[in-house]
Amino acid sequence: MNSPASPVETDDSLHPAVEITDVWRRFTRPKSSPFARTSTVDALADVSLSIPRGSRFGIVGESGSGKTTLMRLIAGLDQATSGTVKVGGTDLTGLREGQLGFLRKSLQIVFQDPMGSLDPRMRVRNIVAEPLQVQGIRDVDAAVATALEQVGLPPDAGRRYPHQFSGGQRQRISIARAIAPEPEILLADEAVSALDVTVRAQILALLESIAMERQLTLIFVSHDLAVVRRVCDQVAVLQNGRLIETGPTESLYRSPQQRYTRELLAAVPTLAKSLAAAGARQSARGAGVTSADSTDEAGSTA
Amino acid sequence: MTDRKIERGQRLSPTLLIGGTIVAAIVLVAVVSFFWTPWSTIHTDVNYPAAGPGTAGHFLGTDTRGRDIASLLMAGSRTTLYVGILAVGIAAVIGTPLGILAGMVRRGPAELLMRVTDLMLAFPALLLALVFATIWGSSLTTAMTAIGVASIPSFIRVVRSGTVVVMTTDYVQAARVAGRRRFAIAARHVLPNVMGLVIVQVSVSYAIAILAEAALSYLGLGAGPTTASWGRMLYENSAALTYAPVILIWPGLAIALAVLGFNLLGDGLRDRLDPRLAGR
Amino acid sequence: MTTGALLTVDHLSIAVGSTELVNDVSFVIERDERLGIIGASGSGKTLTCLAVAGLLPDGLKATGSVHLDGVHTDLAHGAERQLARVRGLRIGTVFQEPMTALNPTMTIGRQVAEVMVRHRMKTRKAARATTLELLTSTGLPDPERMARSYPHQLSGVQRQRVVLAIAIANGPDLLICDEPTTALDVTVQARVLELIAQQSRAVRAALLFISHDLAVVASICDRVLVMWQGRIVEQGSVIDVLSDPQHPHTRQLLADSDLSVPDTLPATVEDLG
Repeated sequence: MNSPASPVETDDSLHPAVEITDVWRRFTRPKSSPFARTSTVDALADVSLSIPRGSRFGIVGESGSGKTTLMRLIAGLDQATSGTVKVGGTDLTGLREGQLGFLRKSLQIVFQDPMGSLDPRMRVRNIVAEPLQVQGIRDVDAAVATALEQVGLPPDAGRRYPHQFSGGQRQRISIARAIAPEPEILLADEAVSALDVTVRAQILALLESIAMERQLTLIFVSHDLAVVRRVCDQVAVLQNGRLIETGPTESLYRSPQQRYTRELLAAVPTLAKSLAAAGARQSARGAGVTSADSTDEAGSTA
Repeated sequence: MTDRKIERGQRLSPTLLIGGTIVAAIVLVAVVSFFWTPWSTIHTDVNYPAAGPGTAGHFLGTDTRGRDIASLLMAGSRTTLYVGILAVGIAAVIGTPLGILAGMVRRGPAELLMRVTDLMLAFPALLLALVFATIWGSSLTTAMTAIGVASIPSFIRVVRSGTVVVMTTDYVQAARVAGRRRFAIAARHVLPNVMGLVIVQVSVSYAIAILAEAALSYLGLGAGPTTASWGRMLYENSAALTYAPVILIWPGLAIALAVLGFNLLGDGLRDRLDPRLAGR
Repeated sequence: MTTGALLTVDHLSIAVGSTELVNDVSFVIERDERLGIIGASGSGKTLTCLAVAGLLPDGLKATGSVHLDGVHTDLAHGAERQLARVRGLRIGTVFQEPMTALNPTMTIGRQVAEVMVRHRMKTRKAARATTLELLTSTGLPDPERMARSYPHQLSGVQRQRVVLAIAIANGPDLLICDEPTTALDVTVQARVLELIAQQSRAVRAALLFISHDLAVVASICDRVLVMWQGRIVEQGSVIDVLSDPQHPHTRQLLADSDLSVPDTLPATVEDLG
């Protein structure tokens, strides 16, 4: 763990990667008629958390939990209604998009949908080059080639268009774009949720090796608790815009303190659990159809 | 998921092929008319007014003043193209950026812009042409400027709705995270991705402009007496409707064909540029 | 109680142009059986299921045959008019995205009633009454209000319940589910799976269940087929195949879906106990 910063120290490296303090994000619902009262909804309510530098931090929640809103705040794509969001010690509050240059250098995102996050009318080369061009990096071609190579894409990939790649390859393109400007923080927003298990395993391995090699802070936003457990060392659980529970992954998974966290964990289907149930079904059938608790066979005995 | 992906051939769609052929033919006729028409468009064959097709060397006959219909049709295609380019050019060049702006900035001034757009949509284009003609005098250019200005709102609306969709995509979010400024996002991501909509709107507006020119010229507010125009041909020969209706059929057919051609071309181009259909 | 083959898929191949997408697939589903198909995307599992549902898109060429007991038409080749008579009556379908399966301009109640009226199973009046029963049995709260609602007014999981209600409305012999819970949150996934199991049992329908999630398939199916590159590479009881995989690809699938760090695996089971 990082040693706590002494108050006089202003060294950049001692700030947490991301620090969120008392953040609220309130949205105004669209009015159903011009005469209707405006109603609001709190996508985030009083959320505070600190993401240590170099950690792999999981943000877990179901749809409507506010995890996407939180991600957008951290990435400077949205502004908190109140509270502060600090990235690398710099407060994002009140900064306009044009003033976020420092954030663009230090933080990049890998999005969920590998098709939707790549402009269908741009060649892969230009997609990956985009953050580099903005930062005025001189040898863009070399940097693009390096990034494509690191994510395991063939060298000629740059000349092609996104739709010419499979889902897994597209996600590699998305990762190449994110790591090309050498950020310190990588935000993965449901980055493997749209992929099947085989590709998911490959992409997870790739993300982990990149995070390790480059000593990145990896912020992993997901609804999938099993994936978060595999990837992250710390985790925060969101429900209805509130931070329910946070802590080191293993202790949270072993002894969840909150009822909702326990429910979430219990709902994850695992092979061991499913096979045990299948075994029970099979033996119930083998034992005959008279067994009282065998709801499976209730229909056929009637 | 990829199971269902079906390869698409690279063949030209019939829509694009037919539309392209019609438009190319009109352009060709217009170009040729600069150098050659069967007769001069101002030559009046006083002996043969309102003659049927084939009379005295007039392939399609003559109009009520004895002018060669085929020659007038050829020269009229120039007017048709000119009015289309002027009117649609004004509408597209002004309407597209405003539409992108309204779609990207969705507050304050953009909101005002949309209300003004709504107002203008309710204002008849022909009435605007009348107003313009009163102020600047009736001429083809005035009339088409009016039609162009009147078509701006529909461009704004169409482009804005497309822009709103593009702005919600992850690739625009990614561009923001990359640090792209608004203007660069508009030029690099939004414009190419709403281009399909712009093309369709261009073809629709082109058809409207051709029809409007015909209507305005028919009312005497468009092309002057010395300019050959399909609309003007209808206007000048309207009296012949009772005794030589065939004179009116030719320009009518020409207008219908041009409108059809531009609509088909627009539809075909849009499909061609749609990334979801581009399985190449 | 009748036993025997409900569905017989015999040497089914599906190709587009010269590319084989499904290659010589044969399997049988018995009455009351629950069969799962697992495989990566592109393995041909979805196409196989579309062929069984008589929903193969135009441009795909199928050879071999798909026979449903009591139906003379070959589902892989039949004319659309005949296939439409089978779908919704003998075969119900639940696909991944419930929003696209529902007509956004029609109330839920009408859509559920429609499938019964169309197949002449019920008069319009009787169908309306049955609709409320179906919506109740698929666990929708306040079914009367639901019946008057439009799809966009429902949550994702409620829409999937409606799709299921439509699928079982006519008491089909076969219920086909293709990734029915993939778009849903984990906490509701378990409930929808339980509902599918329970409802298919209630109407005594066999189940053809497709998912890339091995745990989900294992939780609901008795038997499983493993598909890879258009072929069936392994099949057997869920327990046999998933606890003692023979084919290298099945082993790979199991390894890929295992996200737990090995030494913490016992803890996982403990947590669940």
